[in-house]
Amino acid sequence: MFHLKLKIHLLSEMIKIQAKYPIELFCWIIAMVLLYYNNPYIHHFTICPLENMGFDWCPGCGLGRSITFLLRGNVTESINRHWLGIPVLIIIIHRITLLTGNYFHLNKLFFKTIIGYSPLFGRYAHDSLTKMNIFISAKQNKK
Amino acid sequence: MNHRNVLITIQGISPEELIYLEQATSTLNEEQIKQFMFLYTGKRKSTNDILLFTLVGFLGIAGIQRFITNQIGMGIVYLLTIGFCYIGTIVDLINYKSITNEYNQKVAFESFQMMNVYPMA
Repeated sequence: MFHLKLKIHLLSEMIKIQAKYPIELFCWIIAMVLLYYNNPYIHHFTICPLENMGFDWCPGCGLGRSITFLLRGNVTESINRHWLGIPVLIIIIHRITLLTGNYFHLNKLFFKTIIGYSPLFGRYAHDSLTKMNIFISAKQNKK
Repeated sequence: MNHRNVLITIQGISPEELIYLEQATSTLNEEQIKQFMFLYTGKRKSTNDILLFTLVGFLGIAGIQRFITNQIGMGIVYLLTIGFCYIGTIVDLINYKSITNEYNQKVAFESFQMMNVYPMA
């Protein structure tokens, strides 16, 4: 009886994995879109807790304006605001590509049935693991 | 072969992780699963640890969870900007399980690679 319960629980977890939303991916994309439509010249309402507490100095706000300028193609102004803007944008874009890749791989079965193939083949842990499994089983068969 | 009775002894293992590892280790024999367990349990992080490290971010030192899950670039950015003014820390607080799973899957793959490079006996 216990075994059956565990099995049902594991199955439901499996469905959850398949249907899970990539929260972090959504956060980064929404942040990029909001920063693109942000007006960096005027002071507006912020949710930045440091600024709301009355501090003038905040390490994040200048960075946000710097990325805004960068997304609009104004590189010199971006470097003037904060020199870390370019590396941070590169890191965030790298993270976005990695997360989308992981998401597509998690739902590989889904994409295979709908589109007929899975994008970004062979770059992520999920796929490499199955490959490694085949490799090990081949080795054992030789012995 | 199903190694659930061995894998279930890993401390703080989540159901997601168990399913993933069951699939991954299905072709291993008894000797190989021992070696895999040795390599994997040494490197993996539990979700509770990541949650605690994320909470440290509210004290001003953000991004430790990113450093210990091998995202060094993100870790430096979090540290310098106090977790994007605490917003990044809150996102990670929602998101700590998937960060841990992502890292543990990489660790499982690395353990497989180690087993092929240094086979036991």
